[in-house]
Amino acid sequence: MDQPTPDSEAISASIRAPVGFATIFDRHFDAVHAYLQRRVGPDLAEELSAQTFLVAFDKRRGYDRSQSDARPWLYGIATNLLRHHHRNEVRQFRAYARSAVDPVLDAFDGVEARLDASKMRRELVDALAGLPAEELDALLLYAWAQLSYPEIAHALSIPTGTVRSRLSRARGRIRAALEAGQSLCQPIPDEEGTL
Amino acid sequence: VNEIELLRQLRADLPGPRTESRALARGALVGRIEDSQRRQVSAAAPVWQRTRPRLLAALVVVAALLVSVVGILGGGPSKPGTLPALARVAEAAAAQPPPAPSMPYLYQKTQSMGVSTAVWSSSLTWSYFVSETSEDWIAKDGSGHRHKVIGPVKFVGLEDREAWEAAGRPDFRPHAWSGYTEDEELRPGRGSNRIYERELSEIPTDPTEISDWLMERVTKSQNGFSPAVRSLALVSEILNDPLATPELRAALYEAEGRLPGIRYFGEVTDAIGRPGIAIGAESANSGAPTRYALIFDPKTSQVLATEQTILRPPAALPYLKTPVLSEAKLFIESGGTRSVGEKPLDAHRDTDS
Repeated sequence: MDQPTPDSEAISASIRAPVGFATIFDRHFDAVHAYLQRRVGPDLAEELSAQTFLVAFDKRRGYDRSQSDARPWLYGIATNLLRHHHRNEVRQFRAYARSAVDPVLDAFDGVEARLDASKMRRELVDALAGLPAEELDALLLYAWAQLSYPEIAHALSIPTGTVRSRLSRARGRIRAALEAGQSLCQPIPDEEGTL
Repeated sequence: VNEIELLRQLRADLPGPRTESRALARGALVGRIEDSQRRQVSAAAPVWQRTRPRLLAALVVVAALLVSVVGILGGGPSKPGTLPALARVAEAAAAQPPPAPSMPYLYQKTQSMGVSTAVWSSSLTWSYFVSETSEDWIAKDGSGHRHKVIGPVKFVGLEDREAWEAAGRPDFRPHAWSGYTEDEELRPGRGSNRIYERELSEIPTDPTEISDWLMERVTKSQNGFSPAVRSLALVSEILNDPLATPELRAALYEAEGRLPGIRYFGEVTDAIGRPGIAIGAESANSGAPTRYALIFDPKTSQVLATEQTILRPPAALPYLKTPVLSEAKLFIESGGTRSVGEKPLDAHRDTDS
């Protein structure tokens, strides 16, 4: 059986024959969408995942051809796009922690936004809300996108050592929050100024 | 409790993307790809572009070509039928009336058509035309006004429409379905033609001297296309210039007939059905074997169109039905006007329909 063309070759070929880039979409759209949806919910994920592939197509000439798998690169683009929505993401974590109803689940028609009685999970999302954006990105690329340390480094364009330290700090904060039974973060007001 | 495991359980079972949103995202990407392909073709093949600087660059290539024709091949025609056919057209060109007195604006109406292929899925693709009709009023300094009508979309064949319907009739080219207009004010230097009026008057009117004149403008311009292909655009633009004299036009036809690689394609109709005869060349430089044709009216010598026809599918689009007209530029009307928005009273209309 023929081996599928590595992403790096498909991207490289798409510089001369752009239509080949559709292969990258077909291979990875669902994964990128799933990651984004998990972070910001279905509505924004639709917009950002489409945007991710448009940005990727425009930037394909700069793709590092030593990376045969395009996923880290795509997650990196998606993460950059998410930066503009960090406050929104934090607000959703906060709402979840406060009300025990996950706004992301609540956004789905036909999916019951079940009341989450797990105190530990609510403390977890509250802790996530308090993480600095760069630590949150590294942590969720590791836990949700299941990237390795070098892949996260590639996605975020930072040294692997920095990935290690960011993940270590993030995990430490969460562990501490869970062990203490309270979050480390300070409440932040929403746009209306209410807590 | 492992915090990573706990994290991985969070929002773990969300539904996948909706079919509709996936299709829309793919459609947006395909649209971007098509735009890119169009730009890539434009950048790589200045064959049908109108700006005089690019034409002058192409002139240089023809110069080099003519040097080789005259110096190496002795100036003979590459195909037996080519020169006689063009010699007759040259006679017709020489018999045309001289250009009208210079007017403040050069008006030119052209229609460009390009075929694109939408790749919806591995089994659903369709090809379609998007046309663009442009009316330019260009002053001597290159300033002026451009009015464009873009669209509508037309499917190349019935199978293409059926594939689009099978995909759920997606809006893959927003805005272009029923056509929309754009107006652009051209700054000095942006216009395409009259700014180089002086250069036009300097071109010799003897076929052999044209070779020398072109030779003087040799540059190192290379874009991978054969000189024969590039000469078609160059010659078509000069032939279509309202300021080109009958002598110049006749000489150009004769010179074109001597170029190696130029073939006589015989009687054809252009993309909007006007009858004419065609000469041209073939090249695979764009990624697929493609025929480049210059179509003109043999009775009046007026250029009707330049067209590209893909003869066999490129590797990237193995499902493309060929031969298919991929690009066309149709010369509709031209002449001098006193102001922007005015139509020329002495317009030359390149149409029999």
